[in-house]
Amino acid sequence: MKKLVMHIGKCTGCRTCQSVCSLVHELEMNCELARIHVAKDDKNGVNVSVPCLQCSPAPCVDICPMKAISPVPATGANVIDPDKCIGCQMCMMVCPIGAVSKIEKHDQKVIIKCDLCNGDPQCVKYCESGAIRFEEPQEVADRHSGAFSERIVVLLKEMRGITGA
Amino acid sequence: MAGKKRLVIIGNGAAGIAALDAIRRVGCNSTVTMIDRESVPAYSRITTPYFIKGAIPKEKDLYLRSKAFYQEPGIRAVFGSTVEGIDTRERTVILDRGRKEPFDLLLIAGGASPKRPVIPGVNARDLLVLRDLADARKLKKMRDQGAIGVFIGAGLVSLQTLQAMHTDKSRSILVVKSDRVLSQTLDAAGAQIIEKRLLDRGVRVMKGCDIHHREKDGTVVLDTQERLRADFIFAGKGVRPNTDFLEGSGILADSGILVNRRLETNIEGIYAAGDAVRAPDFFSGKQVTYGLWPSALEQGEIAGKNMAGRKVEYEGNLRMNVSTIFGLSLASVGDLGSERVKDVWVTEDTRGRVYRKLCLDEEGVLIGAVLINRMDDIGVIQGIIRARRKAESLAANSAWKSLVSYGLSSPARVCSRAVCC
Repeated sequence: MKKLVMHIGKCTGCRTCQSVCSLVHELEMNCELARIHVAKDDKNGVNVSVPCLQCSPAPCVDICPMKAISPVPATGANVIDPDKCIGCQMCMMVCPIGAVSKIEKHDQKVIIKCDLCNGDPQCVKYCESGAIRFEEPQEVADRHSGAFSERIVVLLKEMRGITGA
Repeated sequence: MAGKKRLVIIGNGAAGIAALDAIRRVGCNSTVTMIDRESVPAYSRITTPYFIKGAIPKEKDLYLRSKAFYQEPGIRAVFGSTVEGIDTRERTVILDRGRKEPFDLLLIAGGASPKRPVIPGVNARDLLVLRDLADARKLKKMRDQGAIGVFIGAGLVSLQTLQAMHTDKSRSILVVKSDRVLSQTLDAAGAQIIEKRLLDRGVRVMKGCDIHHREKDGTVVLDTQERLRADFIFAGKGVRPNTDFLEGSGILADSGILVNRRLETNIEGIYAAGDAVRAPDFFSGKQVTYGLWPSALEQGEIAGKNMAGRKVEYEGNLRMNVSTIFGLSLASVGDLGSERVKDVWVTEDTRGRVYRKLCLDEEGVLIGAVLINRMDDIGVIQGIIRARRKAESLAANSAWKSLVSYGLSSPARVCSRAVCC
């Protein structure tokens, strides 16, 4: 199942993902209303966007006392059913990356989290630097280890040249 | 797991249902028998105040499982039955009306009962509590009649119920023995903000006193001689683990069933989880009972996995609360004020009623937090508190590792949000 994968180092901290997210979900350009968050630490030059990882099994799904969050089979996203949610904030408390938030909408407090835009995440589309991608996590891992082994082969060849073995 | 075993779970609450889920997730194909006093599908006690208030209109909306779920193969529901004892030698659960339920592996998740203080002039039946659906139904009826209540005890259950019952026409009265509200959940400064909100909403808060007696006409008299007109008294004085039925069984209990890190009792193959147990604390390892929904779920899962043949240990009971009292969000995690806390970072914004406190131990490790009215990062903070302890075991699970590394590699993020905002 595809997930939002961060390519750390590419993120410039522009918060486009946040703006787009709030626009498509809340019809408002307001980073505070986004379902994705950019962590910025200017002193240390750290920029990283933190998307929901759609864990399985997920702490938010398991803890919900109304069973209001459940995985959508087609996309693998853990989605909140607003009709069931009572706003108790248990899910916020157990998400270790803070991917669940509470916003105010028409004077009502609403709990929100990433739903992968029904399988077509808009943050990915609009990320200028290619820092957020919608990929199979396993493929990313394979690609990385593949790239690593290619470089090792080059290194070994060089070493053979040096040692003459 | 070698062969099919007879698995029995006493209690269809948080711990029981989490254990059942864990057993099935692990792929164990033994039949699980669920025994419960109530005859309804599992529901969360967290949601009952919402039901009283009408935010959840129908009772069936509370159910976490459908009735059909209990008919599924591999599950046997024995509902509406009271457990009278456990014969650990014959390995049977003794039910009411002389019935017996044999087991190979047993989980006791029988929960707890509300403490009912003795008040002269009030018989036990008239003292309202909130534990199960029957209590909730009773309170809901009272609310619809516009009854005015005196609430004793200022814990979360009491305040949540008060909030659900309180209307402009029927203003509630809160009687607190100690000098502040939420003494088990918040620190003094945080409690003050909540108290102010209660007063703003017209709740009468009486601190440092207790109910002395109730007169025949229903007038409630405090030990300060003050007289209050009220229709009912609600007791929110905490809970007592249900252990009475264990007498003579040989299962060790001392205000809560005693369990080890695998959540096994002193008798092999008999586990216990949830509000009924005293399990090791996250920090000290001492046997504690916090009576919290997240703890019960976590313990149920660990016990369930162990029953299904895995070897899993419990990281310890970490106190965590989240709630909203009259529109003010509050959350607290971990250690807030023991001698372990050596340093605190506090952010306050009195106008915005924001109060945030982070507690650190002598090595600078985050061990506790109180957050009021700004708590979007409570999950991250909770994750960091937990990760300090179990960073090693987390490394085995890549998803969790990356989750935690966000927090750990950039603690500046959380700390800057926590301290500067």
